[in-house]
Amino acid sequence: MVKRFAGLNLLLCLLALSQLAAAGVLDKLDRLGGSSTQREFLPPDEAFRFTHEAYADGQLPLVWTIADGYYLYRDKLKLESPDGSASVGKPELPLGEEKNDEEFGQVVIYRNELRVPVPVTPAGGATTLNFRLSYQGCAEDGICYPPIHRNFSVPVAATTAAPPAADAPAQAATAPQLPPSEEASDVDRLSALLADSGLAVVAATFFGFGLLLALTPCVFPMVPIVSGLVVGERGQGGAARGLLLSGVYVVAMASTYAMVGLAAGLFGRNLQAAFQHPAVLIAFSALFVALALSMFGFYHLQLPAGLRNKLESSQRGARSGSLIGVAVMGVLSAIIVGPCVAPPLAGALLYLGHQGSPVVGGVALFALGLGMGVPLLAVGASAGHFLPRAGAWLERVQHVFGVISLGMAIWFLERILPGAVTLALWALLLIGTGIFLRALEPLHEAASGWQRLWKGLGLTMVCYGAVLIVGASAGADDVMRPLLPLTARAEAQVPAAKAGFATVKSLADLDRAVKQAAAAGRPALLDVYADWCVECKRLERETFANPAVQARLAGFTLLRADVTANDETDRALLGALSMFGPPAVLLYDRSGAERRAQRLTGFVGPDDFLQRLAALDAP
Amino acid sequence: MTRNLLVALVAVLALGGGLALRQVTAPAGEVPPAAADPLTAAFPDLQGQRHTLGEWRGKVLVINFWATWCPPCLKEIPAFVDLQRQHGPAGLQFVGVALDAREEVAGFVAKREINYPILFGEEDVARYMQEQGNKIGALPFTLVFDRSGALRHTQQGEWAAADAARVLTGILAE
Repeated sequence: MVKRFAGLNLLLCLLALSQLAAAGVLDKLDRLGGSSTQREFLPPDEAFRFTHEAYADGQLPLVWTIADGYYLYRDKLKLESPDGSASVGKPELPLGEEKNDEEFGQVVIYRNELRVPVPVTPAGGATTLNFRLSYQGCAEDGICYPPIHRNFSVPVAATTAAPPAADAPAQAATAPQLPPSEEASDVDRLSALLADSGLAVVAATFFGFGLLLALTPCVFPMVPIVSGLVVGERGQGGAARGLLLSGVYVVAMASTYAMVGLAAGLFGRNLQAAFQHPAVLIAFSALFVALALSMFGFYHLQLPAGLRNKLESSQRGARSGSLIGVAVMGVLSAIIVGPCVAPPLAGALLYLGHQGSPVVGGVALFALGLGMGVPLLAVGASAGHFLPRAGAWLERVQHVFGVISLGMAIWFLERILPGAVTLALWALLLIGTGIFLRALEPLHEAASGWQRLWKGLGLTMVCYGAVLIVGASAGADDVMRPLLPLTARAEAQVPAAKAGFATVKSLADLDRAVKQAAAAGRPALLDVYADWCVECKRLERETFANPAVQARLAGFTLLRADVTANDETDRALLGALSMFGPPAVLLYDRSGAERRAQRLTGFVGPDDFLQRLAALDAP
Repeated sequence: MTRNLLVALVAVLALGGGLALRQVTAPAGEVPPAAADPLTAAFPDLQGQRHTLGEWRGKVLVINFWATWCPPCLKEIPAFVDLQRQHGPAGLQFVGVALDAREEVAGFVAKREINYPILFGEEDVARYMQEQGNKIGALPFTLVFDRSGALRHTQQGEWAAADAARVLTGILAE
């Protein structure tokens, strides 16, 4: 019987391999492991995606989307009409970037998004304008593409039919008359609601918000962690002790938010970014790993023997020590979980910043923290009450907490580690868990239904873990779609989503870019992004990469403000936009005015996002 | 035991089936055409005389494709000049093939001291590079053939002087 199962396992694995082989995965793996250390470069048409907008008002705008790490030379751009069907004027070349080239000296290059309007006059009677366009560029990593020549025709009928671009001036005239206060966005509504209520009402409102926030997937993982602390202290005091520890944790967390609120009232700045420092993240991640190991029973979490002996001599010393530990965790978790509850917090901080009162700010966010802590208190109390003193059941619960803690550790590191490495860590966690569920051990004939269920679950984890390893080695960075780089069609989509964004840094950059878009009659989208912002990455992965969204955004000028550094310029930009941190998506209509009603803070799925975009078209 | 053998047989058949399916479904374009001997290609030098690459057969032959509009290409040329000087006597032969117009190449070569032959061409050079595996047509692109005329190394992008020296001395030492 045992042998038969071993054989079946082998069969399953080989069947899986044959599927992978059919999908061409093995070839790709082969290529990855090949001896060549040279990097792969994009074909010229992917490095420099060219398109042109409709011919309108005597202008033909040429548009390039240039992949990251690639650039075009300004002095190699040339548009001509070889058959004389049009006379081509002087292109309006943007300033570009100065590059010091060892061979050529100072040259001007373009990166990311390039839009060059060229004045074009049709020759008498021509119905089709024929052009020949030449351009040339290189990759940062030391290759150059031969000059690219492209022939294309533009029907002159487009001049009179004049699609969207010609409507732009009309829209520009009407847009500013829109009463912006009537269409209030999430954030505006929230701050409006709060603006004329008293302090008690403010506190109650924020308490309610906190309670709701606690049920979001971002805060919820904190529940087992606190429970873990309580369970870890079992036998020391039951429900009362559990409630006390949870209480300390919650109050510490709420106090931290209160201080942020206080500071927001005083300075109105994004404080969280300061705490997103890799050292803090690594420390916290290490803390979770330590916690997890103790959950698995490798050791009991306690102080070094010498210190413990001293403390044991006075019981009160030991107790206060663990209370302080719990308090510190509360403080850290409040800071680090902050960004994923960004939308309500942004609303709150916007309100508090406008209010300019540190007292109101402090009270409001303290209430928010308390509200967020209520479920923790409930679990803390009940865990102490319901959990038996010892036994196999408790051990299993601890193991589950241990796995969750390890997951949290990886989740923290996701912000600073390359995607493929995190993916490999997830794989390690899944496979390890699967093995502990006895996924690879034969079942006894008398195995109970539960044992079979666990083995099934374990096998699933091991298999998914294996898929993650394949994905990680192919350079994937999305746990939910690990095989993305191996499926050719998706491969083309994702870089396009990334390459589509032009980066803006300062407020002046942003103004210029939005004006440029408005001049072209294009709506614009600004994505406020930071490397350490998990929700931003999710937004990029799930919403911006969605084909329907991509199609809808085709006519937009896509801008991205990367506030990872959180320096002076970044803060000035956020301040000018009345914003506290990423993620946020701002939409500008064709006249270049921001539609506050459609401003997004936090993550939204593709469907919601498309709705917002649809609202942009409404007058 | 028999059962295990049966299982293993089915598994191997499944793997084989998968690989076969891969072959069948692979787009025809991916199969490289049976290329002619790469050393039969010929390009003109600046005096207009055509040279067949096979002329240098018997030496370790480095064909470096470059252009005057390509900064990384120009950057690696001095290193190639050094290597040619050092290892030329041991049987190393660089040949530069420019993907450029004649006057551009002549203007550049006049300013530099290049101690190896320079050939040039446009469409035909681009096509030849494509046949040799330069799918994106970008420069620099360098091929290394050993003394028997077998292709030993393909370099897409800039070739660091140290890497080039290591690969070439290795092939020279054979």
